Amino acid sequence: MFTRIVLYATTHQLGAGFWRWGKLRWHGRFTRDETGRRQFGQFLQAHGKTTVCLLVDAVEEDYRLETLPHVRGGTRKALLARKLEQHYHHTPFRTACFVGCDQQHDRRSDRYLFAALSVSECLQDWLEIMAAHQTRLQGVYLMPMLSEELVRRLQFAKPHLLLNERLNSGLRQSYLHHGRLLFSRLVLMPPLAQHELAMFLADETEKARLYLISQRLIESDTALGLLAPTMGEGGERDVDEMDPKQLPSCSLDMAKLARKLGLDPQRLSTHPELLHMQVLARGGSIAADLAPAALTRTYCLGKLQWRLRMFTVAVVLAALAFSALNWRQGRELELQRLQAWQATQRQQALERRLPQNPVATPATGADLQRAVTLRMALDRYPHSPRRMMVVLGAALAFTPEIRIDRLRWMLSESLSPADQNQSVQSALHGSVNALYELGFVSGVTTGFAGDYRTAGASIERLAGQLRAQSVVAEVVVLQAPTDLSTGTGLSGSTASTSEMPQEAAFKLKLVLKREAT
Amino acid sequence: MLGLGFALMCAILAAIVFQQRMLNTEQVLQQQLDQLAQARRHYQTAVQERQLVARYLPGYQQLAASGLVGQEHRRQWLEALRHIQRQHGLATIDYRLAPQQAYQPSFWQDHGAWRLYRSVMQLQLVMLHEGDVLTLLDALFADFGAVFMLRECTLERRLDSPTAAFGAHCELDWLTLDEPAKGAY
Repeated sequence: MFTRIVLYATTHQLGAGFWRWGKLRWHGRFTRDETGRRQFGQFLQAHGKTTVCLLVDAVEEDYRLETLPHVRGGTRKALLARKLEQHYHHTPFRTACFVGCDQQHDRRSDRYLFAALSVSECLQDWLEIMAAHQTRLQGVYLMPMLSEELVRRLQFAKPHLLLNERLNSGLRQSYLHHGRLLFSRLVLMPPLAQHELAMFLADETEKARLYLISQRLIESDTALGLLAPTMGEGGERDVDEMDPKQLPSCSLDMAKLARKLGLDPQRLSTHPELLHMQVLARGGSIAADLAPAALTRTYCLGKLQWRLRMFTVAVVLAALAFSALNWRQGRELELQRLQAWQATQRQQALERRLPQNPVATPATGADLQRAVTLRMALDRYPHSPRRMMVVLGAALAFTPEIRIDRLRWMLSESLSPADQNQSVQSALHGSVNALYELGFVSGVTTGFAGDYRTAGASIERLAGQLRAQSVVAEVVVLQAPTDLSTGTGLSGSTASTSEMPQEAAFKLKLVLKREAT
Repeated sequence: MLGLGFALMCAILAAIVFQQRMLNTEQVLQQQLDQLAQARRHYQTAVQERQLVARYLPGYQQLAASGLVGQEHRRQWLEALRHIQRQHGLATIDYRLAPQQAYQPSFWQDHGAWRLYRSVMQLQLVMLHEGDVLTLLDALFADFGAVFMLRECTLERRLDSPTAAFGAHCELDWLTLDEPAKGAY
């Protein structure tokens, strides 16, 4: 995970770098002979479990840009596989990279860059040794694909960019359109070119430009940006000597970049490929992998195993954390239980210490209370009609012509009880669970002599006197000497007063207010 | 991997065991809390019971002494009637006492373990003065207090009788509380 071997393969040799905790250390080169193969085998044996990335920088590479109809999922996978088989059926080292999409009217299409290592003999020896040592090969990557990542990290925003990289294997020119690689080539540098680098660069750049125009990747008037990583003042001068009118150039100080990426500038000057190796080691699987599945099976299995191990460790840690949490919670609950037990004991002791009742009671305290409540309720009600008789007596003092012949006193739950089959609805609003003290008073007016007006006035006066008393709640005249209401019949005689009855009967209903307790 | 697998198994087993223990403890705690709540209720009930007894026992004892609780005292009632009649020089009192029956008055709904009974007595008397009925009822109240409750009383002037000016018909309830079974407490 934190260590990685990055191999750099050219046609004639294999370079190796050991990457650990972000630092890439150059290990050495292995030549394509028996000694080199043996040393490589020993190197792999020493780092048996380490993941290996293979970076290939060879002339035998091919790039094709193609536009395909927009499809998804399994259909796209099948389409790309068919295209790869169509273009590169002779090599297993091939890949397809999505570049972008085009929208024309309602039709959408995708652009793909198909890349392959057309001749892979230079890799066979090394791959066989790796297979023999069951090396965890993560993938096989083409050098220019890492240039794309390098330019992205350097944040060069030119739409058309030609990247010139001077490597030990030669001059690599990569064309990037909006940061996406569309074409690359490796030009072997003749010994003479080492002395006239600027001219060589200018010639090769012009050739590359013409090729790009021929492939319709750029127009003849396209402003093609030129980026040339340089090392030190000499390199910068070489770039500056190029024709600036034709191509806008930009140099990149490799020493600064090396320090930024944690590389030794001195080492980078002798091994420029270290830059790509560092980018590959840091980025992991940023570039498209050319390796067939059979070569990376060991790595995939190892990765799966590592993930499984990490998952197991995570589950174990989670289970332990869960156990610790439950244990802690259990302890807290146990403490609470102990406190509750002690509180229960204290409560029971308190109850035991309560003084016993002084005498044995036949009923519970609540029932004793109920019995006393009954007594209090009974005491609230009168035990004789005294109050009503007093009220009547007080009223009769003002109406001496009236004689009471009958008084029916009662304690009633209803405000409208019947008396002598006569019942009148009370205007009072009664309350439930209470008894009302009421009475029916029957009597006559003496000295009547047929004067209904006077008799009626006497009855009204009596009723008024009763109503005036504060203890009286309601007085209703049930029967008057003459009922003059239109709802009743009336009969009599206009004979002389000597033949008229001497008394006029009446009847009242009287309701008293409840006594204040 | 084998070691990791073993560790995984042990960790999961430990998680299950500790969780089960925690759940058991939680259950036991809940039981203990229930017991505590019950003990508190018992204590509060006991304290309340003693307070109620201390407060209402004297009143209840007065009730019991007045004859409201327990068996009816019909003989005492009738003797009291005769005694009052003689003592106050009242005319003859006719009485009629109905059999005892259960009674549920509207003003005493919460009766608890008590059962209230009443025996309805009808009194018929003639009087020279309407105050005689008050004399009779006051004397009865003085003797028995809350044991009886006057329900109705009708006084009528007797114009046709030369010996008595008034007649009275009264109806009263003799109340009895049936004592709750002692075993229940």
